[in-house]
Amino acid sequence: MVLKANSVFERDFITAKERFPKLKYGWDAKIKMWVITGELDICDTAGVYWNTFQIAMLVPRGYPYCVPIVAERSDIVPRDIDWHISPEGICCLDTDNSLIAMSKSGINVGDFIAEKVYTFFANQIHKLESKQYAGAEYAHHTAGVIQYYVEELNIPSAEAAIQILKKVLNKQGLSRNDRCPCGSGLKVKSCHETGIETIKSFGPVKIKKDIENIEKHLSAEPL
Amino acid sequence: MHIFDDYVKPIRAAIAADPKSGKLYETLSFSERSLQKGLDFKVFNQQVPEKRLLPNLADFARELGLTPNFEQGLGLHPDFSHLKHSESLEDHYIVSMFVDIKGSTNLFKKYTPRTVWIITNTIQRAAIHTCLIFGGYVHRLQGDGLFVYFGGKNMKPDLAVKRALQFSSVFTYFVKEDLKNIFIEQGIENIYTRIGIDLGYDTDVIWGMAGIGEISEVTTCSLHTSLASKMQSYAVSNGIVVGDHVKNESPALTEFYTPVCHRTQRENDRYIFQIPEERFNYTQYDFNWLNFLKRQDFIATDLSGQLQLKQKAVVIPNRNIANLAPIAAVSKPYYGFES
Repeated sequence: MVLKANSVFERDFITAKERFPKLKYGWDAKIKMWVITGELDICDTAGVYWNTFQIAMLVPRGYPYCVPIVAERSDIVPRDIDWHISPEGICCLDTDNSLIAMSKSGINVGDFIAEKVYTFFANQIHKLESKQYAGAEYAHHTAGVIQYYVEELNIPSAEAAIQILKKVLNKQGLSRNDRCPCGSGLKVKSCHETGIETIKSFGPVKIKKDIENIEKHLSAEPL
Repeated sequence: MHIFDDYVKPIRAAIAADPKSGKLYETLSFSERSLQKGLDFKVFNQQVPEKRLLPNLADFARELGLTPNFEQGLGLHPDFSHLKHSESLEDHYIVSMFVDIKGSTNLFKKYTPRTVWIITNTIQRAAIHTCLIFGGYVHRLQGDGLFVYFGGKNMKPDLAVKRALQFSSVFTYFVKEDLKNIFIEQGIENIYTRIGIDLGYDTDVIWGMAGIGEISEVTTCSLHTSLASKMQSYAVSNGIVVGDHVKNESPALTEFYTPVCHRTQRENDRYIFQIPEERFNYTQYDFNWLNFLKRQDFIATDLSGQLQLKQKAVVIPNRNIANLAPIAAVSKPYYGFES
């Protein structure tokens, strides 16, 4: 059967299949998502094969403006919070914030697998072999969200993040020439303009949730 | 994929040692000098032994859990050897395959006949060794190419078809990818394969002795052996063309078959053979061997799109975590699930 491209997802998947030939897809009418299943073989930069993971990926019908959910079915990764995987095998590839921001500009299923899924599993092999990840990881739960704002958006502190989030939520005081709410004294255009645009893309529900969680986290921290 | 690296080496050495290549004698390695001195056959046999797989290919065979049977003779399929010097005929299915290696004549433009001999024989030995790994039987050598059978008394047709497709895909990849680089470096026209494969069922194939006395072989008389040869000529460079029966015996692979007429845009090429009064129309298909190979359990496709051998049974001495780190470090995982 030759794959026929009837939708953007199917067209992109045909290209993705060239790179990840052991994955296949189907449409699940019940959950209204594309379902990608199959094997993901991991090789290193020298082309040496390391391991194979059985994966399942749910891709919402809003593709390419969506966040796929990835689960490992092969049980190679220990089901432990420190391995960034849920007891059911759902993989925490990145923070929700990063993934939402990515989805707003649209994803490509092949690139998503290459940049997020393949690297996640390569990293798990790295940890299995050497007891540590090759690069950085986020702290769990709200501490990881704060880490995202600090490391990815260069916001100096959790408190500054709350200030910016509140301004974005209330849609006030964020013109290019306004003072940046991070407290630097600089104008927005010379400070966190890009980060603010990213935060805007999260939408009010996620922003509210982050404010609540970060405030709760800060009040719970020992003085 | 590296499984043929050890076969590429003697070809490189022979090219480097060729007097026409102009390489200074002082810069040659020991084996290259030996080749140039005229110890060709002995050195060649050391480098590419007749009845021993070279290390990388041996690893490959081990990975597949297959053992080549070197105890074969041309023109005498072991399952039908009893037919030699007999007056019996036997009906039994067989997969026939013609492997043509094209472009080797161009080698004479640049190299001495001795160098050409080493190059073509190395390629042929690589083909024979690979064929034996997949349980094939080399029936005849045809110039640089091969006429091989897959199947026999202890194998069902569907497995014979699968093995034939695996062998032809692996060998085509070797010629297309591994050899290509050498010849590009040397600035000569490429060597490529063209392969035709067909399956004849028990009712289609007669086995018997052809010829007289010792000028004879145990061979098949079958439309489908003839068609395999014919289909090979329809294949593109590094292409494989197969017949309807091959497709029918591999229902899980239908996505890899496309009627040849789709490529040529000539409806006349759809059927390789027809008997109008019997409404017998036999279709020939281009086989997408590369995509088939990518889906094999023993193959992994790396991030740059190169095919790699999945070695599980073999301990890889050069496996280095430092080579995994650049890919792994791109990941920055998080955990946000509520307990």
